[in-house]
Amino acid sequence: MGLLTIIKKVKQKEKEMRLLMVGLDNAGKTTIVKRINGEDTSTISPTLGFNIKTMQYKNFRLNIWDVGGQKTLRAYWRNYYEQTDGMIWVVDSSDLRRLDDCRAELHGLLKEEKLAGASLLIFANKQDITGALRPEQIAKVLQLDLMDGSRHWKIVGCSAVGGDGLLTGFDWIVSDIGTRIFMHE
Amino acid sequence: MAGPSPLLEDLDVDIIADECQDSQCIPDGMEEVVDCCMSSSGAEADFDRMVGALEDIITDADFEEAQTSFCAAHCAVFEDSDENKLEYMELFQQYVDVLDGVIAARLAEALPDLPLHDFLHQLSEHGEAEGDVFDFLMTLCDFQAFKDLMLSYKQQAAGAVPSLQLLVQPMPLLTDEDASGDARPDLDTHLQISPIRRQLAALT
Repeated sequence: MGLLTIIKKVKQKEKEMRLLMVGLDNAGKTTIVKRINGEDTSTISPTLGFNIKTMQYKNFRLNIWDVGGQKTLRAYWRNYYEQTDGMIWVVDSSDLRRLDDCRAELHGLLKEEKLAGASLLIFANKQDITGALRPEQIAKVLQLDLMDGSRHWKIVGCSAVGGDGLLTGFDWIVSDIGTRIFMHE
Repeated sequence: MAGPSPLLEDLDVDIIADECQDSQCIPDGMEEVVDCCMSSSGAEADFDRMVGALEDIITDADFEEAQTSFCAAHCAVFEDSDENKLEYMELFQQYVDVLDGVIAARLAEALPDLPLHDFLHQLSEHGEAEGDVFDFLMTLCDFQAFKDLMLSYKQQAAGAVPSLQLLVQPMPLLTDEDASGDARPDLDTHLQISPIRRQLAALT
């Protein structure tokens, strides 16, 4: 590890958190970020690169990295793992056809060493759409019970368009990371 | 940083700890103990030498040359929009690696007796990274700062007119202080550390 990486780690403000938004394309990652940041969500096009959003949430400064989820882009996700405190996996709960794909990608991500200590929030998004699976059902399909016992995780149902559930999810991940960081201090 | 540093743990400070467990009291002997541990520490002196060497490196021409040539080679890729291309991230990682390499090589040259990894260990253990040098180094590994640098470099390379405004800054020779009889301009307000500005100036 080089000097610059270490300096970044040391100097990273105590109250700063880095969150990584991942999930299949069209899951609603960018919409969630914009919604939580109070921005217009009516004209969002597929993310082909990545967005960085910095916002104040409670006492913390969140650095949210939102990376495109299309199949060809997923190989690039690994460039964003470094120093991630928490990841937010977003699922389109109404896209039943691709849930297998979703499970495979998620479990692949969980094997990444650089993400081993990161808290995991799963947003079962699009709860407003009829026919969407409920969070408990999503948890079952994604086989979340197979996760390593040391992982801090939670699944929350939400609707990025309506805003329901978003605060519950962010509250959980921010306080989980906050507690973890303070325990290490 | 919380808890006693490893440096202090090694010293015999038990008595002090016992005496003021739950209070803010400072026993009479406190100052002496602190003084002695500061001066007896060779590690502290090595750390300062490292920081001094770093200061020299980041202000020298080689370092700036490495940074500038990286910008020149890659700035064309960058565009001024909110969404970032995936390519930026790969370039950013290369940029950090290149600069890290330059710094490591120059440090080894300047202080052959101090191994870099000891310094890095000390840095991550103590969490002491205060001061201008570290602030500057921090901007080198900040993605947003990197993107801004690339964009301003690209704009400059394209000879865009607005960038001239950055360079041509009127220097007021008459200041408020004239009124009190001091005719010298107050240069303090014009001094700032900015890598972007340095590079823009280097191009002219």
